[in-house]
Amino acid sequence: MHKYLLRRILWLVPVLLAVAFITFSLMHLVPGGPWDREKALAPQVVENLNRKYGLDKPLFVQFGNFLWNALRGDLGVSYSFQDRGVTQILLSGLPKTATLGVIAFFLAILIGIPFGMAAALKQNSAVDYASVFFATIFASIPGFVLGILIMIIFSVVLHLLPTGGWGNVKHLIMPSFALAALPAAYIARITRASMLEVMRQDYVRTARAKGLAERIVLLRHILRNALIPVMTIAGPELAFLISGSFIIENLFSIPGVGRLFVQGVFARDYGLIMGSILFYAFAVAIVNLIVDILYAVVDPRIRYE
Amino acid sequence: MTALLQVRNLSTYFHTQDGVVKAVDGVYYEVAKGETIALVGESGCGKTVSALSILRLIPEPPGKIVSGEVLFEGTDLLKLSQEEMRKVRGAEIAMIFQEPMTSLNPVLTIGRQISEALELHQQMTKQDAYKEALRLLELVGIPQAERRARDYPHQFSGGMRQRVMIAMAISCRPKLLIADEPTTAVDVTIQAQLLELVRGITRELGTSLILITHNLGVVARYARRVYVMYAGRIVEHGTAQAVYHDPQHPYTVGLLSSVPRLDEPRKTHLSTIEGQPPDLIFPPSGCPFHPRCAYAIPKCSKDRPELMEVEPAHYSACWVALQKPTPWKKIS
Repeated sequence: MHKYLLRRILWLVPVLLAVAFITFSLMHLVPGGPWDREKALAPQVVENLNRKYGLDKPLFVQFGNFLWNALRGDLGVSYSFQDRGVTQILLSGLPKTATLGVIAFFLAILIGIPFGMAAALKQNSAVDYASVFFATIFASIPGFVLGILIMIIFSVVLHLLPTGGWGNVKHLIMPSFALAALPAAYIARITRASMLEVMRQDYVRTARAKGLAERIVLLRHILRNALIPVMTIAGPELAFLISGSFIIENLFSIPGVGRLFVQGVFARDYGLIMGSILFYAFAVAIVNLIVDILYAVVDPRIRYE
Repeated sequence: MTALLQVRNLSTYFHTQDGVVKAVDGVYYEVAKGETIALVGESGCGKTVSALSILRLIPEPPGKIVSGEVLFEGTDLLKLSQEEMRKVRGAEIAMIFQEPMTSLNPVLTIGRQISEALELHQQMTKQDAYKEALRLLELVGIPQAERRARDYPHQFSGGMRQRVMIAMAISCRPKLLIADEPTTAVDVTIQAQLLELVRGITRELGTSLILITHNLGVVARYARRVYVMYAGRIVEHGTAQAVYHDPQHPYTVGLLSSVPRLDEPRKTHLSTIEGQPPDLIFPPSGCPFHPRCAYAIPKCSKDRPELMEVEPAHYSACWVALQKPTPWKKIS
């Protein structure tokens, strides 16, 4: 297990390197640059700016410099935010994005699993049909449509919640629900399917044959097995949620990592783009590692050698 | 002898899209205290469903016990509440299932799966139940029980899992044990060991045993009385001795002659029962066996025979068996 962990952690290095290389290449392949304006800057100005930020050097030197600095925790400078480095900028966005992501994740679990369970336990009942219906709806509505819809209802019509910004709990409610809708729908569907599958297993009959109460059969024998597939999809969902949503953060004007990334792309802010992409890759890799470890904890058949 | 369990006119139907499957259709049998009976028949004849009906473990829907009585020590189990029924399951009547590979929960340790019933029915503390589970594992012949109890089912072979199932089933010293083809899924060499184990334990505890099998060799060795099932009904019933040597139903005759024998010449083809088991949604008219029966007379396709005492204490649901001597030859 320790060996496995070490190997997985070491694998992070080539993965992040590859991500950095691909991002860097794509960034420079895309036409346009950070100094493009409505009204073109004087060639001398551009040249000076390029020299200042080291953009006049050959690309492989630029890439090498970036890697060397990144290794020491410095993700470089942002052209749009002059006062702080990219590391500081991302660190200021991270708590907001992570708070929102974690809340949305728990919402998705707390909504998805009970509805999935209820649907499976009462298969072909009204509860089941309603759960499947809403799961399909929320799995199909894009986040920005749902976000705008609830914004119209709760902000424009009812005046209950602010349309955006960051500061107190009220700011969190709409974006976290908008973010949670899709994963909740997803989790509900997987929970339902997995419960139905487990409920007809022989070992559930064995448990009943022992005389166990239905509650124990459900909690001890069915649920633990049924939640294994749910975990498989919940892990990547968590990685996706805590690394921020470009759309929801923009829609609700939340100054998180997702919004910074979008700003960076529009401004061709090379430093910010590289920084946020690497942050995403790192977050996804770490969460996947945690999920894989949890897997072995929940399912004794999985052992890492 | 007093009967521990009497199954009377039990019918269990399954409602499917194609129609009603009469999996068990008016079955009678009884088990005395400490007695071993065998329930014999082809796959799909209703043996397992009748056993699951005793414990009321039929998934409902699609299944439903539509009629009958299951008298256990005089109480009709079919009339008990769910709560009362749970006190019978595992404690008074326990079951060993056919599939050891899938009948154990993959995410719970072996020790835990045995101890949970003990905590429930014997009100043992967690520690005591676990200790008792270790003792049971040793009893069923699992070496290094202490270490193995912490293992999970996937770390056990099929035979070992079936031993665990046996340990689980006998843990609360039930009065009746139902073993549903306990050896079908394990190697031939292990089968005998497991059956000897079950026999030894049931004798020691004075437990009655219903042995469900399609292996007639097993029946002869372990059961005192035999019930032969066909198409959801009992077609013959008598002592193992009588059923073996003087079968009174052509279906039993067919079953017996399709057992491979060592004393026959090697080139002899194994005889089989012609045709397929009947459609349980639209069973044949009259005797359900008549389309496959070599001895059928016109009456067989018209009237369905009920169990009749054709010899002393030997029952058969066959019109032809009433003729003496029977047209089939005795088996030595």
